[in-house]
Amino acid sequence: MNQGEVAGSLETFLRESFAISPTDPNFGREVDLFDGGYVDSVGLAETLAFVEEEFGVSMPDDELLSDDFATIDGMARAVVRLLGGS
Amino acid sequence: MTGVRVHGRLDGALAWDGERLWRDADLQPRREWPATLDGLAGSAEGPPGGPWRIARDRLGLGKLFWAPGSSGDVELASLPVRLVEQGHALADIRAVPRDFLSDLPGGGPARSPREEVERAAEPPAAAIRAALDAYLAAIARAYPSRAVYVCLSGGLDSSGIASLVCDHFPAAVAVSFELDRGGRQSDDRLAAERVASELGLPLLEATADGDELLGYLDAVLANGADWRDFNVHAGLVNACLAATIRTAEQTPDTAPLVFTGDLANEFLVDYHAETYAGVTHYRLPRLAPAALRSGLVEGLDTSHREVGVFGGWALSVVQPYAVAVDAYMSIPEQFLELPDRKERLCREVFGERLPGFVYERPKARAQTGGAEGGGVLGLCVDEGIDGQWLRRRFCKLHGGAPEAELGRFIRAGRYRSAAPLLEGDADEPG
Repeated sequence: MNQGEVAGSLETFLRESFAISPTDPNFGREVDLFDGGYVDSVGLAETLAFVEEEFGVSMPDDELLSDDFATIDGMARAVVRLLGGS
Repeated sequence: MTGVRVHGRLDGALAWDGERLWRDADLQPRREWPATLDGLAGSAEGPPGGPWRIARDRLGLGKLFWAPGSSGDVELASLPVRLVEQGHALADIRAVPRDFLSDLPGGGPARSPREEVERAAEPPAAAIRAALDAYLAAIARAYPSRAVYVCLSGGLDSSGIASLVCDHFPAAVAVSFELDRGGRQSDDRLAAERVASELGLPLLEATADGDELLGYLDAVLANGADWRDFNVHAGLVNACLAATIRTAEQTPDTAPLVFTGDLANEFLVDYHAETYAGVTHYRLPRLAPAALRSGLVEGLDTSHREVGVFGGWALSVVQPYAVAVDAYMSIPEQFLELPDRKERLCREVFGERLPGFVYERPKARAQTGGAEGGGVLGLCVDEGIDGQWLRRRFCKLHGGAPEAELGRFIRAGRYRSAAPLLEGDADEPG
């Protein structure tokens, strides 16, 4: 699975789970999900459970707490790294 | 020469390895290593010139934060606010990872990765009871003359601990919280009176009105190392309990021991959202019980609402359920789905040691306390002290940190963490 596919899957999950409008002009794969108010701590717990179930990876603390993990693309990069893709 | 500098009072150690108690004096550098560190540990022991042994317990109940000093030192504190007072920005502060054990310099013991706890066929009530009794007996032997209090809400978790504390500490005193908003006595207070009476415990009443309780907010934000509303509300309850105990206990040279019934809610996934004035608070992730339990237990890494808040009044908190974590985590997933899971398990663990009515009592959360007016939650909402207010106030108390920094300081129930290393110490810590 490549980064684009992971990011697409994550974006679909986030849009559906957190009722993000398809016409929201501010939302995107490089947007900080926490600063933007799209995902809170409860939502992040649900997202991590999705990542674990969908991709079979458990996110270690250093990935989870990195600045990169705040965006869809950053999360996708972390997943691909854990899958051994890069 | 680089070294470790400690700012303020550390949480210390009342740790348990399954067989013996590990106190600060047992966690000196270059001595034997404990096999595990359950219970409480947030300690840094060693002579002024080093080396130092840094220890944090498996669940992360003890907190340790650090920042790099200007001359290659490691500056340590149990609270981030202590490091902010030394001139460090919140962005530069890291937590020592939970389940951490290492000498500086020198590194840690060889340890295997912890294996997943095997699921038991039935909840291991006997193992839970044995762990609780062994831990309490060891503490009683170690502190034969220490003043002892037990927080009592009249619910199953605190009543269970109170019943065991009675057995091991004959001079223990129960302490019960109540928010006085002008209505009738809370269900919690009434239940606590009844349980204390049946167990033969004297009861100390910790009662605060709204102004008095909100007067603890800054202390709770600083000593609780957290701004999230659920934890701040629980911290306010604890601040009132702590202040009442400290007023009653005029022995400043020793820290009274305060036992609590915390952690059973995490282990048994016994949380739910609360509604006040038509708004839902304390929302939980939409996860299956086993996944939610994992998340709640992982989340114990963050918030110092118990040990830190009581520590602000120089009191030492003991959370006995921590030493039974493996037994609780082995509870089968199907059991977690039973609505009466806690009652069933407590009946097996505590049996007739608890008055019968405790088993029948509907659950009441400490923050709401079964009181009219929504308890502490209602008080804060009515006074406009919402999540945004708490974030702003926390940032102000932590050197004016930008609010965006909060999402990097705590994420998914974990503090931003890293192993502390002295400059030039290339050893890999354990």
